[in-house]
Amino acid sequence: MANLTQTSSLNGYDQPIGDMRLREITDLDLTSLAIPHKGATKLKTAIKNGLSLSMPTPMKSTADAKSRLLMTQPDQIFAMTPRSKHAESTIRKAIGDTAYITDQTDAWVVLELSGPSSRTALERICQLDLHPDVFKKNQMARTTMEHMGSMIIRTDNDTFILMSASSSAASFLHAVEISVQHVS
Amino acid sequence: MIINHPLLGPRDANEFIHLGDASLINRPDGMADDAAEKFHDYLYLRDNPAGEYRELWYHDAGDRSWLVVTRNTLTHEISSVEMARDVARKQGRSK
Amino acid sequence: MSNDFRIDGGMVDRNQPLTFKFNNKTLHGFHGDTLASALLANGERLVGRSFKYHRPRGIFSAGSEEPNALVQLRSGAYQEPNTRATTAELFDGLTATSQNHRGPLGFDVMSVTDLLSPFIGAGFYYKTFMWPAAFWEKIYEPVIRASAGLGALSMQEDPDKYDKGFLHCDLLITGAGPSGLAAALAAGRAGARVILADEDFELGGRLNAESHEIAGMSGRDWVTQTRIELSSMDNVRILPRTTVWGAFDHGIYGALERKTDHLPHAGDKPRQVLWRIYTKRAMICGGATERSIAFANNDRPGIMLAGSIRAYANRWAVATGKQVAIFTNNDSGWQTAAELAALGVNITAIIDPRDIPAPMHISGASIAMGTSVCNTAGRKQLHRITLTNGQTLNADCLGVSGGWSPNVHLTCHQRGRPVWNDNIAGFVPGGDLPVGQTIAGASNGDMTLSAALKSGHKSANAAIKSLGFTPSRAQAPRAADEPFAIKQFWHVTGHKARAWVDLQNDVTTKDIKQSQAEGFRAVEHLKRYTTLGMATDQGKTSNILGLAVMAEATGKTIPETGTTIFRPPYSPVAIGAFGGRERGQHFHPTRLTPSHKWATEQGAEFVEVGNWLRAQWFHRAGDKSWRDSVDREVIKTRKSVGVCDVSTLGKIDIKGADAAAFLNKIYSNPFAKVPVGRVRYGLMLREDGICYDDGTTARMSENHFVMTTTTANAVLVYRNMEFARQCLFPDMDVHLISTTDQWAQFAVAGPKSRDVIAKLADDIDVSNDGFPFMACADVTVCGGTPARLFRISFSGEIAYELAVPARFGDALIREIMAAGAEHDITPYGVEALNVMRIEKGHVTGAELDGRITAFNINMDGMVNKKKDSIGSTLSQRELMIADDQVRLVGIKIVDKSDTLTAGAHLIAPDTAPTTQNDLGWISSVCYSPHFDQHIGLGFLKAGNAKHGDIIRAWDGVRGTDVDVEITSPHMYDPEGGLQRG
Repeated sequence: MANLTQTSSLNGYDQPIGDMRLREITDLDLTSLAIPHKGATKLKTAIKNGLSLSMPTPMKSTADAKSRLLMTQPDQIFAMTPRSKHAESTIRKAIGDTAYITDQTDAWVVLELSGPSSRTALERICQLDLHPDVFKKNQMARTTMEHMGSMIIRTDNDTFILMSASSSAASFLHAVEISVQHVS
Repeated sequence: MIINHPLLGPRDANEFIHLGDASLINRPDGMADDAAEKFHDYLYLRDNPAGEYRELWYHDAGDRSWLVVTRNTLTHEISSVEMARDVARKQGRSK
Repeated sequence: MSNDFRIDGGMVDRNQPLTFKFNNKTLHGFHGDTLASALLANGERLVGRSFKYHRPRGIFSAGSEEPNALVQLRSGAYQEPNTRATTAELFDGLTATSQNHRGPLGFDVMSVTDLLSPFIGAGFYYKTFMWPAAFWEKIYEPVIRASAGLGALSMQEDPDKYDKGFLHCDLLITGAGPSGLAAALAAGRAGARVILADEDFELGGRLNAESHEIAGMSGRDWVTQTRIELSSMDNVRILPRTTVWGAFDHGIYGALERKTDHLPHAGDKPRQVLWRIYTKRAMICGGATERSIAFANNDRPGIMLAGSIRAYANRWAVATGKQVAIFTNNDSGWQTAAELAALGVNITAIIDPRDIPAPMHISGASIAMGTSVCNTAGRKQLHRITLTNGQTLNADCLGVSGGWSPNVHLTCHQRGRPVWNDNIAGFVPGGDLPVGQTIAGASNGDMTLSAALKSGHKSANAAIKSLGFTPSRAQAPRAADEPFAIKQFWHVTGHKARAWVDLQNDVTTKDIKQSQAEGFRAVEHLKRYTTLGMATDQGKTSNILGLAVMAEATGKTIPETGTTIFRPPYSPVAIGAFGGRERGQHFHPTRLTPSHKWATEQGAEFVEVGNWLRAQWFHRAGDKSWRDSVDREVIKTRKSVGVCDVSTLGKIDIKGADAAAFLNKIYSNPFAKVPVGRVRYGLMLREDGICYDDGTTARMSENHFVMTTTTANAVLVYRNMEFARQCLFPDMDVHLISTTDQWAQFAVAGPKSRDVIAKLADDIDVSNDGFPFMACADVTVCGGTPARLFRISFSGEIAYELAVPARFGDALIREIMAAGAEHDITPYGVEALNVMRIEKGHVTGAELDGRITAFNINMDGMVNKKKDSIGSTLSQRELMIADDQVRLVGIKIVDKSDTLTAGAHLIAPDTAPTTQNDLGWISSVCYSPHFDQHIGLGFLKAGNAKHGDIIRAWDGVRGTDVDVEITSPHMYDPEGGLQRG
């Protein structure tokens, strides 16, 4: 029987709006790595060896060109790594059993908002202080936008990744789109 | 209101859900002989102070931490915010 | 162009003429005008009728304190009632109409109410219309409501857009007058992040209305220079047209920015943005508001605040009259006279109740010291004033100044109480300001220019210093102190005609005295009895005056009399702004199931389940009603096979060395010994013993469980488990993560379901031996897609739930349909799901309603007494497990042609339907195609012993009373053989 075909939450949405660009990112695996009780040190080493990244801290993500690690809870890390066939196995290959690994790829919709007016647009939806002196590059936070649980990461000066639950992806996109349109 | 999360810094209270008295951490042993009595007190007897109050808040739209927030019920001044897990351990809870 | 009252100078741009309409009359103004200044320039004096007595009223002030000049702006669905003409920026094509009159504004038939005024004074609501009681709702109130009032709503949906937003700063400065600008310069130069907000569209505050000098230049030039410097600072954000309307806990401020109100069309942009401003420090530089003096007939069009007359002349180049008289108890009224005279406006007289030498000479003006205005004449326009010395003077405009009240509003929003200052005859902030807030300039009682600049500069430096910034070396801008002397003089007595205190709510000195005489003396009583200060202007020009009149009547001082507290908002905020963009379908987020697109193609009707949209049923050709669809889905599923998207059920992955021990605490029944590859039904209790959720939990491996919760409780269960994990068992190695959105999960149910699953799943033995009832496994489907398979049944049939990562969900449902085609597989929605679970006797939220225990649903055996799980102890309280408690039962109707209703009470035959005779209730009902009749689930006292009894289902709301048979709740396949097959 044929392999199942995939769809993404927003069918690969990608639009220029004013001086900004808003697009869906679909080429990532998302996995949660729960840190076993008293297992942080072991995981830290495994991440260093297996993913060549250092441990993220509560507000600061660590990243290289391909991958990014976020601290999403005091004992939980999110890994954003290149899309593979089986996210859990891919991460397990890298870090072994140093964390409880759970595939989250399909649980989230991932948007990227870039362009000079991005921060102004986000003022309409994100209650966090995104001033570049306060919310620096690679900083991340979980928060709420238009009543939807969300994550925000600053990946560059004018570039932000915005994540929310995949089931309400269309509502989330609408909320971000409106914010962008209102300031463009 | 703003809750100064020990790990994440100041956050709007709208990211949190309020539960109530921090004494809810002190859950009695259900297998003890006087369990029924203890649970009654645990669940139904609460102080209602005009002043400093320790209460549980959950960072629902954040890192899912339970926090113990010490808030003055007269002024809303928040004098301390602790990770509830640390508080629980300090109070002798384990498994 | 008929700008007869336009004079030289001002800040209007004569190169940008604008045309507008007031009551269908075409008029002209300039860019920079407000509607009020343009109306005055055109000589329009009568602009509205008063709230209660329909008295003719004109423009009274030049700012947001305006009590009289409320108009309806724009037209059609865009109509905005109660817009203050004094703050509405003029734009080309603006249309405005006056409010609260029947017939033309100049001849309002309702002005007859003015003649009835002796009968409708203070408190008339509470006295006059007492009897007969039935008349109140039907006659009195509608009549009063129709005759009193402000503008009208368009009764159409508001087409305007609104938005919200969030700002952050070190220092929020409210008010861009002299103190605010000085503060912004100080804080901005030191590098602090500053937000400077002002309700006006021009920065400068009173500087635009005055002819002061600062730092050797005109005040207006200094404002321009300051604006340029502030605009060049990246760390300063200037928000004109922005009212800071509320001070909330922990430095949060509410502000309303009018983004496009000044434009003919908003385009596709929001009209207004409601900002939540997070501040580390905040400064109130709100200035002061002038107030009136009460004297007979002091409400005629043409009687205005003296400082506003000055503002119209200096800023808008409008003379508010050809013969202007001034009545003032303080030096600022004299300033108006002097400046108007300098601009060539004819000043006829200055009347000052103070027994002092005239502060200055004004050429052509007669000066009356120790004298007051005691009456006026002119119906729709002031013509004449009478003085207490008997003199009568012609005047078409009278400027009144009763002194200035500091704008302390925002200092009171956290229950701060202002204190009385005799020197300025006004309330100034007390010591108890909101945390992080300071106040400067006139709003703090620094009533002169030099003092305001200094206090703004100094307070800002103190605020930023406390945040760790180093203040710049720059000094406060220098200016002179203008004279500011005042006599506390509130109202002119000795005349019988009404003297107005609150112009917007038509409250007179007589009303206040009556309130005092009838015992309503406390300020909060005074306010409510007379409605003083309760109008849309919140009594900005009248509260202090009212207090003073009350103080005089009671023989007390003003501080003894007290003041009412100010609450948000400072000025009115449209409800639309609070709603923001959260309207219609965007009121809440919508969650879609992975099969949503497919279900739409299949003709599904959707139903909201929380935020989810779920397929309710699938319409097919030939279905005459929804019932046909549901019956068909049930019958075909029970006969062959059906499929339903169950992805909305909460799914939580639970992992860790202590996962099993943790579940043993969470569920009332044992979980520690569930074998790997098996699913167990679990019951979750609250600590008080009430059963709040149930579901199946599968052990996928030694340290990995997959829990399902009900759709509605997914978030609550997760939160409660986090509480248990962090607060109760902090050292357990257990981890939770919601996987609700990760997996697309489909229930495949019915006798042929095994065939369908066998076709889809790769390399797995799905025979009853290989994969028995309550088995689970990680599998792959359709040639390698990772999946989870569970053998669980909600319908009572052989059934499976098959889950794949959500991105494959759309493809999988299509594969399931293809695989089931030979068995004519039917998709079913939540209605059919509900029918089958009622037939089978499974409980849902209709049963677990927050009052129900395991005992009530006959699952007391599932509360394990050998372990300590949440809720187990208190679930065993004597009365909760007493024999006469209600028990879950099945209900079948005796006469099959009758229908059942959920919510009906169960009562014994031949008893009256009373509370005493109530035996229980029906919680869920449906038409069962299997039994060809209505059936239900319900709770009946000692119901376990009543199976087979015939009793009654009485529904007083719907007026039904039918005989029902009590049965086991497991009506369909009570032995459970089918699902195990």
